[in-house]
Amino acid sequence: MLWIALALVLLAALGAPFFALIAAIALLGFHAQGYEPALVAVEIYRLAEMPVLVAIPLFTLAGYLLSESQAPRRLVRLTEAWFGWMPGGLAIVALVASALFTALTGASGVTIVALGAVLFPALLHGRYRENFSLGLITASGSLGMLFAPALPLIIYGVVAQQLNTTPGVRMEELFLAGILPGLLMLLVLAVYSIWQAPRDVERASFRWSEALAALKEARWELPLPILVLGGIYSGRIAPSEAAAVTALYVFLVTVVIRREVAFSRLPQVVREAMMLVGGLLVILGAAFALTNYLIDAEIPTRLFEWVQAHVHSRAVFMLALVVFLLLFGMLLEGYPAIVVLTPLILPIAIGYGMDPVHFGILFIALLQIGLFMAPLGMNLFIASYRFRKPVTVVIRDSLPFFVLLLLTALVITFVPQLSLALLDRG
Amino acid sequence: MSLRQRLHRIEDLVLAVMGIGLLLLAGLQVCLRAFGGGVEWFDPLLRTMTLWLAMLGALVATREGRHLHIDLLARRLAERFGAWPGRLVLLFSTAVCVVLAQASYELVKLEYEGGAAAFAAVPNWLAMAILPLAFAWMALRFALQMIWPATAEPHA
Repeated sequence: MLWIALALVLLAALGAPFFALIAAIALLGFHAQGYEPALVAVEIYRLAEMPVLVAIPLFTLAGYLLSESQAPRRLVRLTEAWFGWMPGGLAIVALVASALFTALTGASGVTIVALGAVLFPALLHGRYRENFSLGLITASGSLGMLFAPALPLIIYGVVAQQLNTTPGVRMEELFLAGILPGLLMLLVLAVYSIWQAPRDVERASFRWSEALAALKEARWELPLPILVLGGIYSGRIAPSEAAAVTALYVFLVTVVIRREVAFSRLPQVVREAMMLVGGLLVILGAAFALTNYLIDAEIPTRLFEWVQAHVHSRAVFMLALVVFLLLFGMLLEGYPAIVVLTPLILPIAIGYGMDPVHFGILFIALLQIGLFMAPLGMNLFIASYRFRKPVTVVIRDSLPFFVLLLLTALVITFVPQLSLALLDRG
Repeated sequence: MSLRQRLHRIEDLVLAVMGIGLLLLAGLQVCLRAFGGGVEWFDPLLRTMTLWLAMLGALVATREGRHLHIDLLARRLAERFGAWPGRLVLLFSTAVCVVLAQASYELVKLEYEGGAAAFAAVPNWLAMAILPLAFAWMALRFALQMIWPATAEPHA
């Protein structure tokens, strides 16, 4: 048993794909419980049985099509026209644009690479200090996962629903619950940016003509938030239907009306998007099997009893949870952490009186911060690679942002009302 | 164009056609439903397409070595010890995919004998058939990569 565990940890460290590792644990677990391996396949086949999963390729396609078009540039122009006059305006532009981009594509590293390429030089040009700018771009990949239709929210929802918790976890509730905590993270970094903004430069003054022109230029993109958010947040249509409408609309705008994504580019773009989806869904499929094994072997229950015997105070449990989730967010890069840890920890969290929706929000908030936590957070290396700075410099420059977001995450953890206020149950 | 490149082209094409197909069909279904219509078997069809897209996407990700994994240590070790740690990982991935391919083949066989329909006239076993196919294909790919390492293809 110990040897198998050690071998798997070693393989993970050597770079084995997460789906293979998770599937291996599930296969071994099913074998130990005396079940046929075909039952693992039954679990993976559930990828074809859940209506909500159709939303994942659709939203991803929409995100990739948008990022291939001129929409990111228009987004930057629009936010600049409306916020650029404020002190720290450009930094706020970077934060808001990155959050929206991550929410749509669900890929935080892509945000740093795609938007950072535009925003980093722009910040330097606007006379922001270089270490502030680098830190900001690195941290900006860690915003936006709490806003619909970000994939981490959907994945958490799907996995949590497997556990049949009381109270349950509904997708619309998760989407609503993410809004205020997500905005708080943005607000904290925006205030810090205003404080850090260069004071001696002349800022562009607000001009109605530019503001309206930017608005007009973005007229096709403007209905999108209403389509996505209105559809999902109203709870009137299912996430998969909102995804279908969004994807079709984005396709029509980027390929047919604006023609910014050429027809000949389409196979490339779809391929890139589907590689992400495929990589994600095989992990999820393997995780269905793992969850099933864990529940069958009563491992969450035993884990809960063990924790309860050792941790008596709720506050201590929650602090330990914060440290644990940050660490795993750093090591497992988001999605694998969600699918593996949710079945193990959610039952314990509920045992300590936490709401499963609130747990999901703080879980994702901590995971996205873990993405740029020293020393191993993935985004540190992406930023280091993209902007040709030593990792140590990236770590130093992003540290103030990390501390601020960590404090915000503690608030999100210890003030459940922030997540639950917009819900009926709040 | 080599046989291998041609095969990659076909995979990409199927992926693209199916991805755009999913987008159009799902959009059409919502529009139809808004007017009180909606085709009943579209929903299971869309779900099955999602599974196929996922497996084909994973297959292409295998080809380019783009499955989610911990990257950092692997790169350091490769500098130190050459290709062997990577080969160990590939051996493991191959083994897991072989077992998964066989397990899902068993499932398809059971369904074939059971004979339920997934949607319209399409039987369940056919909808499932992508599982053993893709896992077997991935196993083969991982195995071959022990000899010829995966390379990300340049963007056109």
